[in-house]
Amino acid sequence: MDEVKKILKEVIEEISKKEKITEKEREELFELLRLVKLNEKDGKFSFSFDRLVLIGYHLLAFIKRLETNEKLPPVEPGLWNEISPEVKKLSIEVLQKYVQRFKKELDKTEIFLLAVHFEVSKIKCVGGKNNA
Amino acid sequence: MHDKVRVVIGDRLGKGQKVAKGVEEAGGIAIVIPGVGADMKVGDVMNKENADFGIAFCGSGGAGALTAQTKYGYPAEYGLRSIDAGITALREGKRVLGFGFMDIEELGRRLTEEYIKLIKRENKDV
Repeated sequence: MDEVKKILKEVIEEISKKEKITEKEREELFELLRLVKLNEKDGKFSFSFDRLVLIGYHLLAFIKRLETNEKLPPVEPGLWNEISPEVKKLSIEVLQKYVQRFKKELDKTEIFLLAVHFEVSKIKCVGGKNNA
Repeated sequence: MHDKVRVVIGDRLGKGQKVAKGVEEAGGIAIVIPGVGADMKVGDVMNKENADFGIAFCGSGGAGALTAQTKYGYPAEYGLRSIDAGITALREGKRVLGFGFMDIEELGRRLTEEYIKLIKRENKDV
């Protein structure tokens, strides 16, 4: 667990070189990334450092969108067909608790955007490599 | 070698058609990547198609541009939120531009026009 904590802190440090992150956002980002990283346990996903940085950028933008109530455009019809139910469920699990804390509704587009990161991590994992 | 400016477009939400229209209005060739995770494939397709520059759209405006930079070394700018910011990035030599979602013709048109201007200026200087 300490190793995970160390990696995630390094990921956030990397992101903070380019993005302004408040202390509160840093804590929230850590928690969300931890939930993502937990999914490595069953061996179906592999999140390289670079992939975690990308997911971190995404989650930070998600946190900021929630703060500002920014709405995203809807997902093009048909794209959901390329997202497996398992990955969709994981994406909801990671985002739902966070959104509920702010008494807001989880946008379907947000579920999709994170699900794509999971899907890519899963696909790369099949070949034994995850090069982000 | 190719005569026309080739622009690769990848949008996480499967859009990009309007940007592509703008690219073509400006005289470029637009290559829109279909399917899931299209933004993250921008570097791959740029490399394959020997494209001049790429535009990636996602929630943070980062994933596609950063992936292309990490994997192929393309100079990238990300988190862009306006057309002018994209033009500035092109002038600074960036070749993969990561935007938040903004599938509009004007973006494709103005970026392509700017790139053509930059190339002409470079050719004149040589």
